[in-house]
Amino acid sequence: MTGLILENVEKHYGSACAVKDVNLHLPEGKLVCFLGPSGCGKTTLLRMIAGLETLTGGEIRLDGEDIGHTPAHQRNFGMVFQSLALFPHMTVGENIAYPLKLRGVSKADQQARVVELLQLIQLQEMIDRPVSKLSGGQRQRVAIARAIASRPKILLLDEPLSALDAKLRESMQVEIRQLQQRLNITTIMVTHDQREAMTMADIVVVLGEHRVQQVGTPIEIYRHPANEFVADFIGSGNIFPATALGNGKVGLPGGDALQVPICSSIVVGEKVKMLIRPEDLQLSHPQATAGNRLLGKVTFVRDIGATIETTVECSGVSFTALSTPCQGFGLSIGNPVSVTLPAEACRVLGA
Amino acid sequence: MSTLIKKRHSLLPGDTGKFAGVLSGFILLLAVLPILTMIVMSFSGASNLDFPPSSYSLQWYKAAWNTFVSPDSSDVLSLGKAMTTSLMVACLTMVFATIIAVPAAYALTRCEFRGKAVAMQLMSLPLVFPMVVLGLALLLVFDSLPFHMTTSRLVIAHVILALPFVVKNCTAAMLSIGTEVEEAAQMLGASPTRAIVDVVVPLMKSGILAGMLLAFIVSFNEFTVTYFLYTIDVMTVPIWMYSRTVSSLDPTVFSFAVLIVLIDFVLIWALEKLVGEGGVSF
Amino acid sequence: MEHQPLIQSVSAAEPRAKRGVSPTVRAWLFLTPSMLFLGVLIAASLLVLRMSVGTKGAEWTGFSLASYAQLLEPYYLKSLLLTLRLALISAVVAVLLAIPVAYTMSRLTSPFVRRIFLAAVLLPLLVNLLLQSYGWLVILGPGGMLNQALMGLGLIKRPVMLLYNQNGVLMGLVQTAFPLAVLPIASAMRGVARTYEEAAATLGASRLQVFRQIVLPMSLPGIITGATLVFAYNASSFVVPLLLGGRRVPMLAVMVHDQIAPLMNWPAASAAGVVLIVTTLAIMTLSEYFTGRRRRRMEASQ
Repeated sequence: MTGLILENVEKHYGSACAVKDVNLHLPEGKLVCFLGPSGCGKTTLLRMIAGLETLTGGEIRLDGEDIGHTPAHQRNFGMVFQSLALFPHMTVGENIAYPLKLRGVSKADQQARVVELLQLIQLQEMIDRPVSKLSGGQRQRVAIARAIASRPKILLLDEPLSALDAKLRESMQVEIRQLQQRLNITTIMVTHDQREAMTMADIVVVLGEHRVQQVGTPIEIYRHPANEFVADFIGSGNIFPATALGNGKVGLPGGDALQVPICSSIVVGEKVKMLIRPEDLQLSHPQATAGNRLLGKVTFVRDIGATIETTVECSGVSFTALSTPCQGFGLSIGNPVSVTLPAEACRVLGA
Repeated sequence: MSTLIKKRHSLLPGDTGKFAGVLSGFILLLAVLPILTMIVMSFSGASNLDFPPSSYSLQWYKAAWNTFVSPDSSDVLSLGKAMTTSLMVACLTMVFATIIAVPAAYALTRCEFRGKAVAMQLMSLPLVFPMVVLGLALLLVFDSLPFHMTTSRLVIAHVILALPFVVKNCTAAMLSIGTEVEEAAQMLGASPTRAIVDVVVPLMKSGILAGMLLAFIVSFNEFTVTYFLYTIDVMTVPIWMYSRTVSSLDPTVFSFAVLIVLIDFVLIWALEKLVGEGGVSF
Repeated sequence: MEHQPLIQSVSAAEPRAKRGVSPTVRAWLFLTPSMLFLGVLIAASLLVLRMSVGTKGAEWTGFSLASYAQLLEPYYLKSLLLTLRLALISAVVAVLLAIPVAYTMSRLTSPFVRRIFLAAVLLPLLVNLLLQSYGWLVILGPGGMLNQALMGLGLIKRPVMLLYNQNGVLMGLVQTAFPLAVLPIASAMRGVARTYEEAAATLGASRLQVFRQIVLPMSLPGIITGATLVFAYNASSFVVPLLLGGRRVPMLAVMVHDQIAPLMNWPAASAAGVVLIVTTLAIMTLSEYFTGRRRRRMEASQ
């Protein structure tokens, strides 16, 4: 079986667990994001794949071969560190040529490859510049070029964009994605920024509480979060408690009932957690509660310019709805309003 | 009537105030007072130890120079020999101390291992270990050995004394480099040893050099332990100077002293340029 | 794509050998040469210990506690007390003088001034003790600088004897060990981030209050280290009491030397040496205990 396979991988530091029960199959040529809050073990996982940490348990296999005991410098994976780790005592060209030098590539071939890579990242004239004289975005690109110089099988990125400011980060996200697709190189990227993961990844692995919470495409994870953790971490969500009433109906704390997609695994009377995304809620002029349209009161309004977030209290739950200015009708705190929760947008978590 | 009020440059929290600055300057002046005194005395024109000197001249420097070039063989020989010995011992100390300090610094900064705290404490031991006891013990050991080791026993003693300085220096240098460049080199294909050689050592160059200089200074100036271990034909400059002043304080010594202080100062200045404050810490 | 069901690895590959040596072994390998040299110190201590219970004439084979008994004689006891007293006073004075210098050093911005400061701080420690003692001889002599200054200021009528007694020695001790106090304190103060001082200022503390209540307490480990280093260094000081005290200030290290030359009483010298070592180690351990405890408390609160 090709690709990278992690089987029952776990890592403990003494009695503390960094990550466990990791079972993943990462196919070739895709960009995979390890996404999660800080301390969830995603960087540890990446470093284990790189060979910079040992495994406490489990196996890592590449194309069928167990690489768990191969030292880092023999795995031929490219890696970009969070601090970029460009060698300060070498020029840009020397940095990029370093992996080639180690592999005994002839000087002429080294030069050719360095020029080729610099063209790829559009920094041709920087070849002899010391790395201290580069800007943040330029250093970023040199670090990537250096990592792929030896044509590694896998590219590993450890929060590569965290040191950049917002605007630069967004453009680099696109650049990295385009580069990855162009080279068709299997890439694993660690990030805590879910927008970044959504923008760049083919597959997202959500990590939390030291284990894998869900694996899927960005849209799958957004639309069908496997549990409350994922729902809460990805995008903003309205997560509220409810009681199953049978026949696809759930009861809200305030007493009203909602029609939701039928879920066969839930028994009547069971307490569940529900999710509805703010953009799916529909606000309308106040009318009596009927079906999935609840009557409530505005408790907070936040107008950010491009969108308006309105927090409404109804049936014992606080919902936040997202609307654009043209949809809105000038609500302020205290106004009564009706909130519609379309049935197909309601999701039962953990089912 | 101008309402222009010249705003007093107010001190921000965290700045050094004038009071602290002046006080520090004064205290530092006191700290180097003996050295400054000697420098002034070396230019004295009188032949007594009165301070300030009644007149100024270069007579002691001339006398010192005469000692160097005088036909009185015993003087020249012993000073020349002492100088050679001092330099040789200092250079050997420099080299050996650095060779053993660099891997030690690597182990102390990069590795997590049992007994690390103990090892770090041990590194400071020579600083406070009673030097007379060291001299005594080394004397006991070396005298009971069947063979003579005159210069080498000085080197051994000096390396021990210089070790804390060099190790602290190198650890500070290594800490400032960080592990990520080493790991990056490994990811690019360098074996762990190759990574150290290609990346860590070049970046540590100034730190290592500073450590070497410190070792040289310590060895060149060392008196106490050397006093126990010297013999007639293996003498260092400090011992030579002591032997000349045992009976009476000869101001010629001051001119030599100035030379030594000058060398020390230049070396410390070079040290500074290389590593700044961080490298010289305890 | 959901994660695939577990794939049983049925590969027939033999288990690969464990990579490399354990990190502990590797680290100690690197430390071996240094430990060898430091081991000489340990060996020296043990040697001296053995010698101290030998007898004159049968140094390695005899066994007697006579040398230690000898140490209890008033002459030696006085010397021990003198040593401890001078070391303690010098430690306190050195630290007091070091604090303002360390504070200034830690907050300096101009690199040139920093270099001058550091050179001035390092010189007393590194420059030949002999030379500095000569300088002191000039300063402290009856016709020397200090006496002339005091007489000029009208504080005294006749020259004060500062040489060949404890006062001169004390001054020499403080001056030569001064750098050992400054460096750890400066390092600790540098570690007190400027933001703490700024925060205190916004809460209403004056500069002096900030210094006394924020900077000093947070630099305490460095202060303790500095005091310890000065104490231990001066307790075993040899050159300074020898040159500046003549025969009148017999600190322990001088005693040790006297027992060897001209007395050739190795056991007695060793006994005094052992006392020195024990004192030094005791002080170091105590101080490490206190700073360690404090460090753990501070880490726990963060």
